[in-house]
Amino acid sequence: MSKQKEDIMEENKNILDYLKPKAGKAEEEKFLNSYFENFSDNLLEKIKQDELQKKASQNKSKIIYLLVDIAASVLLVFGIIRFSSSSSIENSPNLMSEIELEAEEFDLELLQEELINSDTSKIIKKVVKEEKVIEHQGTLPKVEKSFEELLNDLDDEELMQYLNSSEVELEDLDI
Amino acid sequence: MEIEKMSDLELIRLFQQDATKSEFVFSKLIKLHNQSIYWQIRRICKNHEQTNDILQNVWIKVWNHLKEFKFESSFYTWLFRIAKNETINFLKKEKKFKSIDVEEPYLEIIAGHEGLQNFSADEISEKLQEALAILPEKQALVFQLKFFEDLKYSEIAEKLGMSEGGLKANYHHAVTKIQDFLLKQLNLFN
Repeated sequence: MSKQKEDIMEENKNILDYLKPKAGKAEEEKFLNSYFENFSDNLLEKIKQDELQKKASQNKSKIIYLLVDIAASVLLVFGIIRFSSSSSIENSPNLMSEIELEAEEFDLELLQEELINSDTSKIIKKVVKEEKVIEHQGTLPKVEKSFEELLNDLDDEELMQYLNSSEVELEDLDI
Repeated sequence: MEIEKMSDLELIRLFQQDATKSEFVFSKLIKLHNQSIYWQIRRICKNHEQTNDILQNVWIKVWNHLKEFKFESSFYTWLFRIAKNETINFLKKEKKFKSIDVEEPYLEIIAGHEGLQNFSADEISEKLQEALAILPEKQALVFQLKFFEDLKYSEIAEKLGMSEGGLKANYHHAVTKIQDFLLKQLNLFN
């Protein structure tokens, strides 16, 4: 390798000797001096504000969690009440079967047929009883004829027979 | 001992032990090291606004974690590491490894080197940053303080808590690696 080439290689090798940090401009230096002077005060102010905001947002989250918690508790209690009230009816076989039985027993057409063909006093007693069931349930269809109408439908003989009947209880008639 | 004469590590001990002094100690640490860290970041970002954002993040991290500082390295080494990571993360987030803003290059080329005449100072600056990025942390740290900030070995030794002999060895290794990297990247051997 020639001496000249060796010199070039050596020169190239020490590349950092030909580089140096550039001095800043006066204007920028002035700006940066002021920036560095105020940096710590500005930063501490920012840190304090950030911490306050963080606390505020934590408190806000706590309130939201609390509200959600309360709402969930209210819904839970409401659900329990609904469940227990519905299950208490469903789980009372006596009450349910009584209602179902009486509803099944009530058949208006059958009643009218009986009224025509059967013993009057028995029919009247049954009508009175059925009317009470209707009052009690409140959901069954109304009887088309009232007790008074049924009485009016009877002829004199039938009426006398009814009034003399030992099976009639005036309390039941409620007239 | 007077706070003004305290070393970094003594200041940190005070910060950890006395909450009433924490703001004062923190401000003192900022005043001691802020400019050096600012330029470390800005040489990569080449933009004051981005540098300011990163620098604030760096010092907020210091504020949040100084109580957990374990005294396993010098404060400046710890700070340098935080700044390096914050800069990389920030630039990744911004997807700007190369800044769009055109600012004055932070290097100037001295006449006399034939190979360097074909390159701009900006191109050389970028290559130098790439070279610094692949150096071991200690070598990069010593190089920045010696080459860019022109500190004396005694000053660097105090800042980093290292012996001057160790610093010289680190600087020598850094310079050799950077020059090799630049020669290869700029094809100056041909």
